[in-house]
Amino acid sequence: MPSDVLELTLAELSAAIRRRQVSSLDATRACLDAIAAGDSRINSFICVERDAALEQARMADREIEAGRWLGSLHGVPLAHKDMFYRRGKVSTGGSRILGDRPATTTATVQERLAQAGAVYLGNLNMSEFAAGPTGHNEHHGHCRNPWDARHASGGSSSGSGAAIAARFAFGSLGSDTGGSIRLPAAMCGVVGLKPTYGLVSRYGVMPRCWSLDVVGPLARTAEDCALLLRAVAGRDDRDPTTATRSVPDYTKALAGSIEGWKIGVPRNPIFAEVDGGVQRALDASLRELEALGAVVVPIELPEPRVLYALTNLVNKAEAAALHARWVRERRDDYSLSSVNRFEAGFHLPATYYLDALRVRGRLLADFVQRVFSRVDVVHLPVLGVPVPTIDDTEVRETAGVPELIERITRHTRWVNYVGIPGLSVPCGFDPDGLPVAFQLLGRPFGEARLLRMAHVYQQATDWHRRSPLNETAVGAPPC
Amino acid sequence: MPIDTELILRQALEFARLELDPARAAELSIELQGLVENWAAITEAATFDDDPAHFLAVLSDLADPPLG
Repeated sequence: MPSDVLELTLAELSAAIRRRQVSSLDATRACLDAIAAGDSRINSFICVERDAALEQARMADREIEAGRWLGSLHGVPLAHKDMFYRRGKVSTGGSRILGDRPATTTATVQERLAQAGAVYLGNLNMSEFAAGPTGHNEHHGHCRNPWDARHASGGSSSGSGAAIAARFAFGSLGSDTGGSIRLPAAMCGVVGLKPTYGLVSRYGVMPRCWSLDVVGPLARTAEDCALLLRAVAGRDDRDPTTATRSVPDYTKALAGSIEGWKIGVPRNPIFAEVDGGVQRALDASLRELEALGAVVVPIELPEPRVLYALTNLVNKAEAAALHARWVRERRDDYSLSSVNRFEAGFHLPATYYLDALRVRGRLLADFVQRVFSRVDVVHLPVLGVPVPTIDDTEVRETAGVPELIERITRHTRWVNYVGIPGLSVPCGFDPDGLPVAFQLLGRPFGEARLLRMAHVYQQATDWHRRSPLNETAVGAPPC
Repeated sequence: MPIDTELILRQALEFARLELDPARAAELSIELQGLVENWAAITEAATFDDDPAHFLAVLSDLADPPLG
């Protein structure tokens, strides 16, 4: 077994397992040992299923040895945001309220990963009910940034970003309603893909806001995300919002160049407010992409602030509807930051919500026509400020937090309203040593294009090979 | 487009039967103001004649072509 098995990417580990250079058991044990040694520093897991994971790994090794290799995820240790239901097991949703409720069904994405032979390490930390872009969690403890534990991990898929960066798992599923995959990916220095609305089934997934929610992968590389997306994407009759179109082979689509591809770089005034250190890393990534054959084209996006306001209308109205009963009956079981978010939806006239949905298709068509008739992808920040500290984004303690939250989410939230895919790709570090990422946006169902561009970029750079210092502490509790 | 956030807030509080202290109500009022400040721009952006269910079809119609 390679001594640095945890430094392999998912794709590299998969190839090594298939060739039987590394056993699934050894890889799984390495992950579990790393979690036990270091997770108390970052609190990325809510619970670990050590014995079950080891048994799954042994089974995978037996199957592969017998010539029954199931595919690229067979025997690969994964861990997921704690909101993908498995029958008979608790998914807390990062909450206290769901903490004693075993699920009555299994999420389609869980079934698909299990059928692919993936190993399930445990349940990852997340913002309460997937609400909150920083990774704060009063019930299970704040998730912390592996690069500097004083800083936020990003959220709401906080544990997914932190655990992948810390080499505790090789891939993860998260969910994204307004940046919840892309923000923790960016803040922790890994790749995170928000797929097109309707590409991945949400059956058996805890809802946050049904018009905006999507499920997608976080991993160290675009290639790894391609493997994970291929395994979970596609029509599911139990989720009628899933698209009927066939799922491309995203891995095959990685091959090829980006020669001549036009990258739109927004020049709207809002982008002038991006932090200088962040902007320098973004500019460097553009120069690299140009060197790889892409052509940079200045563009004007349809006003992002309008789309942002519309997203908030939909988000808050649906969250309030979902949580109405619990907010009334179990208000004290919510954290202040969550109940603030959900209660706001009660104050919106229903007509605002309905109007926001009625104009959605029209604004999507307008966005695609105005942007993607000129360019192939859009390049913009994920977050335009340095990764904040946990203290600076603590709702109870700090004035100005709502403004900072808006700054954190202003380049991601509206993307869910127009439903297009968004990919977060690490591209350097700010002056304090925290990760910086660029975001790529594409046409609906254009994931293959985004993944190819990110893959080509990662072949020419080594940001995804950088590893946070491995300061150790103690591990996570069993499930 | 003028929005009476205080009126909406009072009505909403009554409707939802929520008991909020003044500080919390103020926080929510600020948040609500943020939500509606671009409403005039929104109303100018479209004519509101789309069915929300149409969104999935629009996504599909505008899909990226397969990569060569």
